[in-house]
Amino acid sequence: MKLFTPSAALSQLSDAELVAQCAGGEGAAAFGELAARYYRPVCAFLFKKLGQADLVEDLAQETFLEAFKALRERRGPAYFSSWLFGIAHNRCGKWFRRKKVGLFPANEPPEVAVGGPISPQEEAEEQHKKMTALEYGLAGLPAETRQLLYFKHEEGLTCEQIAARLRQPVGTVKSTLARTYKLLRARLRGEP
Amino acid sequence: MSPLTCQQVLDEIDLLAAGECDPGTAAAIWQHVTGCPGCAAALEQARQVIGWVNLSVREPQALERLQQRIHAEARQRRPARGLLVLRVAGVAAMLLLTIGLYFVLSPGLDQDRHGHIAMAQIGPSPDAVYRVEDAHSIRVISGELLVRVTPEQAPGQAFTVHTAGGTVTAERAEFVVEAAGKNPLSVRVLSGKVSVDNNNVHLEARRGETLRVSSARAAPQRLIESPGYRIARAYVPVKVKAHARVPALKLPVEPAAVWNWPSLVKGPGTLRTQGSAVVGKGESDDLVSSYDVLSKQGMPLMITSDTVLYLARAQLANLLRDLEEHQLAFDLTRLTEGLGGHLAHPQAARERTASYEGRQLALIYVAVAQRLLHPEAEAPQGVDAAVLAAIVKAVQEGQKLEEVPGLGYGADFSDFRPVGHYAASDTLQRYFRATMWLSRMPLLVAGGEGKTVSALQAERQTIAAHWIAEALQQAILSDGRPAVEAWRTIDTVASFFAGAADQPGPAQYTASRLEWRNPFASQLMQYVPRPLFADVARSVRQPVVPEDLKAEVGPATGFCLLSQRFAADAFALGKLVYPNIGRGTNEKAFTAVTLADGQIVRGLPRGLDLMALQGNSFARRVLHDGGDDAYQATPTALGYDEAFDRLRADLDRLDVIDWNRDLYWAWLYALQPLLREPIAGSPTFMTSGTYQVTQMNSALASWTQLRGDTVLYTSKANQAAGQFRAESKDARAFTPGPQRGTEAMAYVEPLPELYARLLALTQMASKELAKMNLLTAEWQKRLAETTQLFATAYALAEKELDDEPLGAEEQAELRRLPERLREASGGPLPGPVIVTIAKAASGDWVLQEATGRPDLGLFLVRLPDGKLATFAGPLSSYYEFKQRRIEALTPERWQEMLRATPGPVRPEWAR
Repeated sequence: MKLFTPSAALSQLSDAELVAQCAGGEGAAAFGELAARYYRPVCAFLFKKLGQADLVEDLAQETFLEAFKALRERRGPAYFSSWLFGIAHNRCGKWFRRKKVGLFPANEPPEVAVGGPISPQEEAEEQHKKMTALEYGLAGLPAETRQLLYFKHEEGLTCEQIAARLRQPVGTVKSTLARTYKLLRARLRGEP
Repeated sequence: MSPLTCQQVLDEIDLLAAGECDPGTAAAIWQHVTGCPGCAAALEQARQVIGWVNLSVREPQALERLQQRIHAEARQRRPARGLLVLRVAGVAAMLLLTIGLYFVLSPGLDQDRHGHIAMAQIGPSPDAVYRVEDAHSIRVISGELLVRVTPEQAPGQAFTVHTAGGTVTAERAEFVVEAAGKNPLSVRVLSGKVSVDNNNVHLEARRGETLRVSSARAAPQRLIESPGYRIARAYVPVKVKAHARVPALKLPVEPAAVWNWPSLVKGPGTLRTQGSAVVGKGESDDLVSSYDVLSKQGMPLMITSDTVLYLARAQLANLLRDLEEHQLAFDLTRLTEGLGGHLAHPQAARERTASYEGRQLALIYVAVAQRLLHPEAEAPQGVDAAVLAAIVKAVQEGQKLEEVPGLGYGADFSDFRPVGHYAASDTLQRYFRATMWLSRMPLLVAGGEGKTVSALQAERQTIAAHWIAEALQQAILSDGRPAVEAWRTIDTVASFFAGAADQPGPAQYTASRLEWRNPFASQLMQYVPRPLFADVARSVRQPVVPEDLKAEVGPATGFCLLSQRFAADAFALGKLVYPNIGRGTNEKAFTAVTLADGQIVRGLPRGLDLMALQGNSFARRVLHDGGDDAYQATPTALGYDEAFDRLRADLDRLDVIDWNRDLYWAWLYALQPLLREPIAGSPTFMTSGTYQVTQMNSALASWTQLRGDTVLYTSKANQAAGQFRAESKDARAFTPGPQRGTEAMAYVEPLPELYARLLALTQMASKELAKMNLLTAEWQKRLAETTQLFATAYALAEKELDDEPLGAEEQAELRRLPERLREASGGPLPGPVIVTIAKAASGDWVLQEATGRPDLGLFLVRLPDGKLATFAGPLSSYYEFKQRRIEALTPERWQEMLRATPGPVRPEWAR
């Protein structure tokens, strides 16, 4: 019995084939491939909905875990991607409601399905495009600048802390960051 | 700091979005973007970029963490299927496992260390990490858990949840514990009482409250409690017996067997076969006077539920009217005056910035209300007098404006004509118009394509709303009170009588400025109440409204200084019409409306929908028989049956506290006993079809009265309510039978639960309003008297169901009951009412509900000594009309119809 399918092989499989494998022994690997494919689009979608990057990661993780659990129980979808975005969409809804419940229930109407005109998937694709444009922008940055961004966003350091670590004046760190953001903003607007 | 130029702002804007700007510069930038849409858009874009960079940089690690969690999940045993899924309203659905099951099902737990715990159930979120410490406690490391403590198995024992942020203890409660993250502990109490201990601080929370511990060393804090639940806590349900033992009566009866068989003009009808009959119009204009006439005729009196409901409603309506006339109108006048003064400014600005224009709009908005309340008031400085005069004139004369200056949308002010009790005095008329202006003319959030106004207009209106919200925090009124205090009084009374606000108001707008990271529009959608008017950075004048969130805001969502109220009935009925409901084929159905394209849709709801939703099978059957449920699903809408079932399930989930969050909901709740089948062993007349119709009629009439009383606050449609008296007509439908000592007899319609609910509701009103210092001594006395009378009705109704005889004194008390309730009602009794409940989406049709002159009911009662007697009492009458909008019935027209012969036609099911 094959215990492990190399990811190179998994990457050749379609979504539907991977979904079919999720309930099996190598489910985690198959789902890992699906997660790698859809992590960014789901984040982009959630970011558009929530507008708060720090929330997005939590909800994205919840979305994928929920999907994985459902797939293991063979509650498989016909179309993985739209199903996944549906889960993400619901997670957003839950988050909004969770904030509301208990604190101000008088305003919470009973839940009734309302279909929006744009599907979550279309929204996500649009977001994904923008994020990809940004990705190209990031890729073109000098290594030092990328490191600066890493300190700021992954490690959550302030400009003062970064300056101390890099032994640079705070002003230099700030101006580099400001310049970089501006550049990325231009990139997003489609400017070269 | 001097004002910045656009270039200076654009240089700094990315650092601001990244949280790296010094406070002085940040304040200056905020001031600039308030009046500069270009820079505001750039700021929004900068925020997006920062967010994306954030996500992008963190992606590899995040993906790694996700992969680890997936593998961890995969290693766990596959969860069992078919567990009870518990949906707690709004709480993320969580699996509910008993701790006993937990050992079997939940992996990663040291199974042999622990015994069986029976006193609690826990529902962990998928990512929750926790372990069982001993038989009575668990430790939560991270994640979210629903905990339900049911101590039956271990009386007197508390259940403890340990977390890094403190210890949670409960004996009987249901709560959600959230651990880790920014707040190491947060406990949201869904029912019962919970206490949290941390750093020697002990704090208790009850249903609707949330306790939060912000760091391991911090003391727990109580977050704002829900106003709804706060009120509901004053509601103490009265226990009601659920049995009856009245011997059944064999039908049909022989008139000779009845002590006082009346001579009926139209023959014995259903009195003989069903034990009750509606014999046409009563002898008087209101329900209480009917009793005088019946007493004079020597009839045994039936104190009907209709009478009790009618008088209880009259009391609440009179109480509200008194508060409005003597307190709220005064408060609102001072408030608008104070806000106007605060927003006024001596000279026109040199530059017409967005901020300046927003302030001008805020000024006009407030000045219109001020002028409506006090026509002689001087306009605040800086207001455009011509615009002010034009709007005020249109409102006062009920004209239609194609576009209201500044607001960019039209309005038909004919709706602003004072109706019902609001027509009774100058003060009330003014109060009505001003409140309508402040609650029906929102300063809109969203504009642009598909919306009512342009994006620019929406932006101005949002800025105006912020000016008003800010003025409300800062202004001091001419009587020395802070403006917010006067506003709060008005809002509290409206919330108590008619329900929580359903448009965003000052609280939401203030909250949205507290943290710019919290998207403004999502705040609006969440309606999260923040500590009202906490210290706000004054320099922040404009919120960031991301475009995508704007798109999710409805076209009519916007700031209202006073809001309309969210009511369960309006919401539910709204969900049972087009476009929420699909297509039909029967254009003859009452609810059917044909659209311009020939499509038949459910354009209007019916009052029966509401009764059916609360479980009444008769109403559901009538809807079915009339084809009012024959609407099928379409790709964008549900079929009627499915929508109905969903709503029904939602309503079923509400419990006694949900239903008693304010007097409006509590009234709907009080009506529910009328909608149920009588309990076994009830008197025979209560089990007949005729009685079922009578009950439905009573419930709908009382609901119509409720809608009429709260018309200023609740209805979203055009309304019209009349208060007048029909002329007395001697339409005697029966001649009383022989008076064999029966003239002193009285019987109360045996619905103890109805009286118990009215009793609890009145106590709640009395307690809460007294706490708010809103009850005069006179009103305290009246409410106490009413409470006493409901207690009597309740006790005697229970006695009747137990088949115990009522003593002479008790019967005398019952005979006096209507008159005593009338005296306690504190004002005139309402006459017939007509209310517009809904408008069809096509705009052509409206649904109107009305009450007319009372009917007279005859009831055959078998007394405990075995004798049979006929009792008589008045019944409310109920009408329902589907009218062309242009032909909608006015109170005057309704009055004419009631006077005419043969008079208006009752719904088919009630005939």
